[in-house]
Amino acid sequence: MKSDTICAISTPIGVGGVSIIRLSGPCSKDIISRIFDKAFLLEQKPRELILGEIKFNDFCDQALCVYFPNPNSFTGEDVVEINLHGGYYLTKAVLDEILKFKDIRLAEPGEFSKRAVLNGKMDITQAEGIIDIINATSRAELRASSNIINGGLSNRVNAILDDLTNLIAEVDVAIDYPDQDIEYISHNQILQALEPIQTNITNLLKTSATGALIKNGVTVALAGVPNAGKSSLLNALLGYDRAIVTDVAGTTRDTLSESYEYNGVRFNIVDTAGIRNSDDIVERAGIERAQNTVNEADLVIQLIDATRPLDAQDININSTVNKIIVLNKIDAPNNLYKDLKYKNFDISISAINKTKIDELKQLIFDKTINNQILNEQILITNTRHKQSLEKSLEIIEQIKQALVANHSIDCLALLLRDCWLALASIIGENTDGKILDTIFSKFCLGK
Amino acid sequence: MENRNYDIVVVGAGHAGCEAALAGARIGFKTLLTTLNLDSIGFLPCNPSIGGTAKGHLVFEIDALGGEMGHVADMATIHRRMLNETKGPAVHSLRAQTDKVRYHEYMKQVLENQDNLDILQCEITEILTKNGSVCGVKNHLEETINCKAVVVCTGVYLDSNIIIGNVITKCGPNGFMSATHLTKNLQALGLKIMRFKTGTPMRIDKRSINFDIFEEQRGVDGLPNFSIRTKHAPKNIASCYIGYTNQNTHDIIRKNLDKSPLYQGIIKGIGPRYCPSIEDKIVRFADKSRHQFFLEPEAMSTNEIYMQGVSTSLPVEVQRDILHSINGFENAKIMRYAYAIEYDAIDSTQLKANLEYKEINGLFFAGQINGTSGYEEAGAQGIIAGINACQYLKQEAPLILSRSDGYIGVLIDDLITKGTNEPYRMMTARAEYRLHLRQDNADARLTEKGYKVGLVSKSQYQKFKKKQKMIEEGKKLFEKILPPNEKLIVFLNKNSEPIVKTGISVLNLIKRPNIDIYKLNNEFKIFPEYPEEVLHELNILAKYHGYLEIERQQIERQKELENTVLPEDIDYSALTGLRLEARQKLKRILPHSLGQAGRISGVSPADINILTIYLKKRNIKEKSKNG
Repeated sequence: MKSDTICAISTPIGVGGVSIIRLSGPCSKDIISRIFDKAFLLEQKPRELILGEIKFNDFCDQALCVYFPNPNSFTGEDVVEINLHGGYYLTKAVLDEILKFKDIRLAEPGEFSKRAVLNGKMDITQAEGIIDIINATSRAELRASSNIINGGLSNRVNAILDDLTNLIAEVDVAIDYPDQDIEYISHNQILQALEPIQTNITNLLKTSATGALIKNGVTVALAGVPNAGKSSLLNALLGYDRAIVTDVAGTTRDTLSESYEYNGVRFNIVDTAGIRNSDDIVERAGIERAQNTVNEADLVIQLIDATRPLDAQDININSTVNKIIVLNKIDAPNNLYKDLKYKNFDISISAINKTKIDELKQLIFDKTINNQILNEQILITNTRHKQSLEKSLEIIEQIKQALVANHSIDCLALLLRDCWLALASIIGENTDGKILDTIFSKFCLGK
Repeated sequence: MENRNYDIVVVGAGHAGCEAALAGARIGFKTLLTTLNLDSIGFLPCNPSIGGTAKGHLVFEIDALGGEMGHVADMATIHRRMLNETKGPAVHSLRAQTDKVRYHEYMKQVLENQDNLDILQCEITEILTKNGSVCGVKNHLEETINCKAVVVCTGVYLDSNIIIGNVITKCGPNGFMSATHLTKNLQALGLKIMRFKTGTPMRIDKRSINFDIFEEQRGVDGLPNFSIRTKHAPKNIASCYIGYTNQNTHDIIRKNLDKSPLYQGIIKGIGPRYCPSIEDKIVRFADKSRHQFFLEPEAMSTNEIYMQGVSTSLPVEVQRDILHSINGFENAKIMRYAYAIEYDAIDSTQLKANLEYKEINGLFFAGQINGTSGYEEAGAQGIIAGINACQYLKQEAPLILSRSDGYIGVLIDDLITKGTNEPYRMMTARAEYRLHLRQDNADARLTEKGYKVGLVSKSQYQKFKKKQKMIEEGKKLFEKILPPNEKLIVFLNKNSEPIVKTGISVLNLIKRPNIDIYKLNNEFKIFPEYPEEVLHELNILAKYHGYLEIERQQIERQKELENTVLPEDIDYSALTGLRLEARQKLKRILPHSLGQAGRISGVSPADINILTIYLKKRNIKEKSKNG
C-alpha cells in the first residue's frame, strides 16, 4: 500500500502576514515541481527556503518553498511547505489548484501528526502532547504539554513499570524456580512492594485534577444580588471593559464568559445575571442559567454590595461549592462597611476603582490551584492517561484484596500483569522479555 | 532389495525424533526413523528426570495430542513430586525422576513395535530436494532413501564438540558419535547456522558418597500420571538428596577460572542464562556464599549419581577438587566428568508455524536444532512437526496451536517469531494465559485437535469424551442452590465460614476459602460418583472462577488479532509507513497473523496499525472485485 499525499493550509484561516500550505506524501515533490519555478533547487538544497514563483493558469505569486525529504521530516514522509503572502483568497486558491492534481487530497484534522506517529517519528504520548501544545491557551498548559512531548510522562511511567517488572519477576521466580536456594517473595512482601507503586501512580493521578483545570481553564462564577457590581468586577479582572455596566439592577440578563491569565493559568470568569426574585421572563431564565453556572463552577465569587444592608439573597448560595465572599464598593461614600453585621467575608475591594484586584486574583488562584502540583514536572491533562492510571490503581486494590484473602500466587501474577498492561498502555509498551531479563539478572538460578 | 521408499524420514531418534516418527506412523504414513546409534534412542543425556515447571505442562500436552513421552516417563518413573503444590493449580507441575536405562529401553520397544515405522542406524548426510520440495535423503553409506517429507531432529549432535578444560573431543553427548556432514548441506539449503552451548554435571559413584550429610528428598504418593494411558501410578522407589557448595568450593573455582574454557574463550557457543555452569554462577553472583545441588539416581541398575546444579567444563583435576571440597564428598569418585558441549542449531525464525522451513516444502525441523533445550521442549516440537508432515502429505491445513491453546503454542510461536539467542527453555513466565494452561486440562485444550488429525487413538478419545461429559454435567450443578437449613448452617460453622440467611449456590460454596468440592460433596452428595480427576477439575473451575474469567476476557481481546490472517503474498517493501526495522523483520518472519506480527521485536503498535489499515483496504478491494 502506498500512502497517498495530503495537503492543507497549516496557518490559521484569515488574513495574516504569511500563510503556509503543507504537503506530505510521495507526490509532494512531483506536485511542487509542476507549480514552482525554482523546484529544481529544492532537491539540491533540502530543508532550505527557496524563493521563486508559484504559477497557475490565471494567477501567480512569489513564494518561499522548502522541501524535507523523508524520513527527515515532521511526518517521516516527503514534505513540502509553501509560504505564501498571507491572504485568505490567495491561499485558498493555491490550495484548490493543488488539489486538482491526481493522488492528492485534503488532510483530515490531525492527519499530519497521525502520520508522524504511524511512521514512528514520535510515540502516542508525544503526539498527544503536540496536539495539546497547539491547543494550549495558557503558559501552564503549554509547559505541561511540552513536558509530555519531551518524554517526561514516559519517563515517569517507565519508572513505575520498572518497579512492577521487578515485582513480577520475583513472583515468577517463585513459580518457575521452586526448590531453589533463594528466598521467595511472601504475600506480605508483595503488599509492601506495592505500596510505593501505588503511591507513585496516585501522585501522578493527583495531578489530573489540576491538569484538567489547566487544560480547560478554571471556571470562576460571579454571583450576587443585582447591582452588586459583578460586571464591574468582570471588567476589572479582565483589565478592559467587556460587560455593560449601569446602575440599573438587572442589566446583565445572560451569562457572559471571558478569560484572563494569572500565574500562567487561564481563568474563565462567568458573569451571571444577579439572582433575585423577578417577574421578567427573560431575567428569570437568566437567573436559572446563573444558578447552573454557579453549581458547576470551580469557584464562586459571592459579591456583596457594601452600600446596602445585607439581605437573605446575599448568602443564598449552596454551601458545598468552593466560594469566596467579596465585599464590593468599599470606597463608596455611602458604604455601610463599618455597620455591616456580616463580617465573614474573605476580601474587600472596589471593582470600579480597581482597588485590591491583584490581591483578589491571588486569592482566586490560591483557592483553586494547588501550587505544589502546578509546579510538578508532569501534569496529567489527557483523559486517556487518566483512565489508564485509574484502571491500574483499581487493579492494585484488587491485588491487595486478593493478598488479604490469601489467594494463590498464580492468581496474583495474573493481576500484576494486568496492572502492568494497564499502565503500559499509556506509552504503548508490551512486556516482551523484560520480565525474563529481570529474572535472569537478579537471581542465580539453574539446575 | 529392501524398499527404499518412505513417506516421511525422521532424522534423529531423541525426544523430538521419537514423537515425530510415532506421529507419522500412527497417522498412517510409512515412516523411517534414522539415528546415529540405536543405543541412543530416547536417551536422557543430561538430568534423569522428566517434567517440572512448564516442562511438566508440555508433557501433559504431548500426551493430550496422542504422544508418547508422558507414558514412557510414567513407565520409567522411580520418584515423583508435584512442584508448586502450594502455589495454585495453574502452576502445579509434576516432576518425575526417571530411570534412564528403562526410559531408553521402553521407548525403543514402543518404536520397534509400531506399525508403519522402520528404524535404521545411519548418518544422514544430505537432504535431497527437487523443485523446492523434499524428495529424499542420503546417508553416509551413500544410500539414497526416497521420501516426501523430512523431519530433522538432530538435537545436539550437529558438529558437536565436548569440552573439558582444554581437551576438545569431536563427538556428541556421552561420547556418541556426532553428525559432521549435515550442517554443510543445511547451509547450502539456505539455513542460517548458530553455535549454541550447554553442559552437564559430573556423575558420582554412589558407594563413595556419605549420604548422611545430605538432606533426603522422598517421592510423594498419590499424584496423577503424565499419561491418560498409564493404568497404575508409578511407585516411589528411590530418593534424591539436597546439598550445598561452600566458600572453599568457590575459592577453588575462582582460583582456576583461568583454566575454564568458558573464560579462556575456547567455548564460543552461547549458553543458557537459566542453566549456568557453576563457574558462571560464582562469577555472576559473587555474593552468594553457597549454591544448592541435588543428587539424583541415574537408574536403578547403576551406581551413577547425577549432581544437578554443578555443571562445569573445568579441567578434570579441578572437578575433583571441587567435589572433594564438599562435605560428604571427601572420598567421592567421579565416574563421568562434567562437560560442556557445543553444537549447531538453526535460526528458528526461518520456520513457519507448522515447523516447516519457509524455503523448502516438506522439510520440517524439531527439537534442540531449533535452539531449544530440554527433552520436553524437544518432544513438544517433535509431535507438532510429525503431525504437520502428515498434514502436508495429506494436503490439509497445518495444526497450529495458539498461545492460548497450550505451552506448545507459546513455545513454537516464540521460536518462529522471536527466535532465540540462547538455548530456549520453557518457563511459565513465557505464557500469558497461565491459569488456562494447566496440567489438568491439557486434554480439554488439545485432545480434540489430536483426534482430528488422526493421532489420538479411539480409546483415548473415548476416555477423554467421558471425562469432558462429566465435567460439563458437573458445571451445571454449580448453579444448584442449597437452602439455608440446619444442615448447611452446621456445615458452614464446622468449616469456620460465615453462615448464610438465604440459599447459596454450589459455586459460591466451593469458592469459600475453607471449603472445597471434596468437603462439600462428602456432606451433600451433590456430584455423582465422579472420579478424582473430574472433581479436581471442577474444584479448580469453581475456586478460580473469577480469575479464569479475567483471563478469558484477555484471550478474547487478543483473539481478534490472532485470527486476522496476514496473507503470505503481502509485499512488505511496498508498504509505506512501516518503519525500516519493522519492514525488514516482517519480510523475514512472514507472520501468519496480526497477533504474531505484534510479537516481533521491532514491530511497534504503530506498525500494527498500518497493517490493519492495509488489510481493511485490501478486503474492500477484494470484495468489490468479487462482488
